[in-house]
Formats: sequence, C-alpha cells, structure tokens
Amino acid sequence: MPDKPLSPSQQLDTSTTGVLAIVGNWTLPHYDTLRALSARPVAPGAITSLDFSRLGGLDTAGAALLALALGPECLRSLLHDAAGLDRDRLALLDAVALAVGKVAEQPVVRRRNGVIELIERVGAAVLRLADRTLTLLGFIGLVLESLVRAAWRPKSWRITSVVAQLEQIALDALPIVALLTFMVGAVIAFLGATMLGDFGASIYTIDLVGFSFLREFGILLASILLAGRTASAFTAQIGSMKANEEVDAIRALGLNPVELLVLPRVFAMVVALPILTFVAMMSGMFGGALVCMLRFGISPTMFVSRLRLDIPVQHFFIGLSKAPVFAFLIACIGCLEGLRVEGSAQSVGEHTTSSVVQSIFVVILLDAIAALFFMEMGW
Amino acid sequence: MHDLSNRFGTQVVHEHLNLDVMRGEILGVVGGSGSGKSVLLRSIVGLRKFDAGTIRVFGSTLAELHPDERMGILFQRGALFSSLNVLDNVALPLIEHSALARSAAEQLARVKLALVGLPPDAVDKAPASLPVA
Repeated sequence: MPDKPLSPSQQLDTSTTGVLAIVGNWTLPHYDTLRALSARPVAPGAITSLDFSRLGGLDTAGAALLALALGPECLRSLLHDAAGLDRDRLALLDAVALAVGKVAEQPVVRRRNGVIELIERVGAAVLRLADRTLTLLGFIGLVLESLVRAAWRPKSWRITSVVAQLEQIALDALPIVALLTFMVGAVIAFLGATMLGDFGASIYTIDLVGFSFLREFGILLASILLAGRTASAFTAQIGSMKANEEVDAIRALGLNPVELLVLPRVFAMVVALPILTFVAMMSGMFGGALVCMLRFGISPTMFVSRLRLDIPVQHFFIGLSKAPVFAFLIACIGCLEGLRVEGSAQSVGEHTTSSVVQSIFVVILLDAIAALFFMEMGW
Repeated sequence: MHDLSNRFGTQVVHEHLNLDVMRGEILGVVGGSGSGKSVLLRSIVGLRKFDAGTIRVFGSTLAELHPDERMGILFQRGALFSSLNVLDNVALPLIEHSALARSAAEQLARVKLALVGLPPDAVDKAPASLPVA
C-alpha cells in the first residue's frame, strides 16, 4: 500500500453533500484532536456514503472515535459501499463499531451516597468477622480430628517435615527472640527502677522484672514474634502451594493436605513455642539483671536471691502453660489463611497480612482473658 | 453424569447437565472464559462438591472410589511440588500408596523419568528450573 503523506490535520470533511470524507491519520497519537472532532456528532441522516481515500493511518483508537462520531450502526451500514477502503480496514472498522455498540449497552454504575456505603462496609465487615471466626473454629476441629486420627497410625507421621519446621521455627528464631526480650527486659528494668526510685524502693525492680517476664512478657513477646514470623511463613508457604494448584495435586493423589501440610506445622509449633518462651523469660530477666547491675549497682547474686525469695515458681508455670494453646492457635490461623488463598500473588499477600494480624489479635486477647482468669483464681 | 448442578451463591454454572463418556473416548471440553469447564472437571475428579446430581466413574460413585485409584490428572500449570525435586515428585505417590522402600521407589522413579525422555541430570533439579516445553 503506497505511503500516504502525513496530513498535518485530521478532519471530517463534509464539503461534498451527503459524502463524509475521513481525512488524515486517525491514530492514537492524535487522540485529543480526533476526540474533539467526534464530540460533534454528525447527523446520521445527512450522510449517504463515506470516503476513505484521504485517510492516512488507522488504528483501533481512531476507529472507535469514528464509530462514536457516526454512531456504530450507521457506520457499519455505510462501510461496505465506502470509497477507498481496503478489506483489512473494512474488517477493523466493522469489528470496532460492533464493540463500541456493545460498550454503549452496558449500564452505568451509579456511585451511591457515601454515608450509606460506609454503613454497608461496616455491616459487611462484621459479617466477615463472624464468618471468619466460624471458619477458624471449624478448622480447629478439623485439625484436632486429623491429629487424633494420625496419632494412631505411626506410619503417617511426617517426622522429616516436623524436624524441618522445627528448625525453621525454633532454631532460626532463637537469636532474635533472645535479643529482643533482652532489650525489653532492660527497658522494663529502667522504667521500673526510675519509678520505684522515688519511693526508695528500687530494689523491687527485681520483683517487677521477674514477675512480669515470667507471667506475661515472656510468653507474650515470644508469641507475638512467632505470630509475625511464623504465621506469615506458614501462610506464604501453603498459600503459594494453593495458588500453584499443588494442594489440589495432593488431594488428587489421594493424600490428605491437612495431614501432609498442617499437622507437621502445628506439632512443630507446639513444641517450639514453650522452648522459645523459656528462652524469652530467661533472656528478659537477664536484660533486667544487667541494667540493675550496671545502673543501680545491684549485684547478680542479690538479683537471684531476691528472685528466689519473692517470686514463687508458680508464675513460671502459669506463663508457660499458655504456650501450647497460643502455639496451636497461631499455627492453625497461619495454615488456615494459607489454604484460603486464591490463585493470585496478591491473594497470597493479603492472606499473609491477615494471618499475622489475626494471630497477634488472638494471642493478646487470650492473654488478657487468661490474666483475668488467673487473677480471679488467685494463682 | 446425570442431572449435575453447580452453583456459586446465586450464580448457576451447570444445571441438569447429563454426560456420558464411553471407554476409549477422548472428549474435549471447549468453552468461553467462565463458562464452567474447570468446575465441571473438578466435580468429576472430586475436587469440588457439586450441588445436585450424580457422577459415576467406572460404575462407582466418587464416594466409593478413592480418587487416585482410577483417575490421573494433569493440572494446567503442572502443579509439581515446588519444595521437592523432580525425583521426589515422581517417587512421592509410589512411597505413599505402596509399601515400597525409599530406595526402590527412587529407582523406579528414575526409570519412569528416563521413559519420558528427561536427561539423568534433571532428576535432582527443582521443578521450577525445568524448561517449560
């Protein structure tokens, strides 16, 4: 096809009566000019034929604007008798006109009142929360059932998987748990000593550090750290498998995804969190002891003896007793969110975030309830 | 398949669907995006619980049949286990479903991989590193 010289202007030429000449390059770079042209719709009845002989370039954008200017049905009906139109361009214009017609049929979505939408979203969020809680409870039941069933069949125990998960969850997390709780212990000691110093009771900083870390902070910090680190890892691992249809493949092979993927993780978590809690407790108290020694001159021997006198060992057991429960819940939430992932990368990200938030929320909520309970019981 | 029905909430994907596939037949299912092809296949294989109707494979319903016993499935993107290498991927069902020891299963897996033409050095690779055909 001979190269048409580039027209400096795009226009719809109506100089000859009844004939509409399409002039210039009706392509994307000239969209704005063409838009202005097609905004002034041509009266359909006045046009009996089209002339494309002075048309330069043509693409979908230009064709769409032409369809808008003339009206899709009018354009399609005039195409076959048009002058200067080769087969390819005729096909393009016809197809685009058809599509423009379909787009025009689609109903316009009306933006609703902002306040009503807000209330709607609140309602939807509440329903989602209720649904999520029910799903979680159901999943916990499923995991417990699978656990009991697998307990009777030693052949179905996935030892390798458990050990691998233990390494990732516990061993790799040990340094960071120790470091973070050490620092928190130091901070608590500082705060406590400063406050208690006003009453001349800075020696009781030791009690503060011991009591708080054994009962609450040890388990809480370790759980929150694990919730952030491990729940997200579980969700990402299982979620990526789900997005890649690997979970379906497991079911198609006649294997149970819960037994293969979830149980090893739950079991490893229940073993790992008490260990990490213990490390957190010790490390926190160590941090507190260090501050006491360096800042307030309280010797380590004094620290330990004070601890033995004032803090009975039951606080240790109370703190530790929460660990298996929290571990079980964090693992279940992480795995459940992983299994709920749909096919996209975005879904993996969303569910990972959700699992971390849920785990932390559940841990803190249950910790608060447990604290109240233990207080009331006098333990 | 008799009177099959699949629904997502209010959206009906299949309704009163009847289908017979004879032994030896090869059936291709063609449809536009969202027309329910994947839903149909997942219902047949047992990966999705359908809402109404019955499906029988080789005369037995899905509940009577263990899914891996009579059906082989190839997923759209391969669905190889990304955390296992190629050899372990092939050996996994052998180990899980028969009393084969690990070494025997791996030996058999190597034979199977050689059967399909994969070079011997591919067996230890992760699935992601295999070039897609």
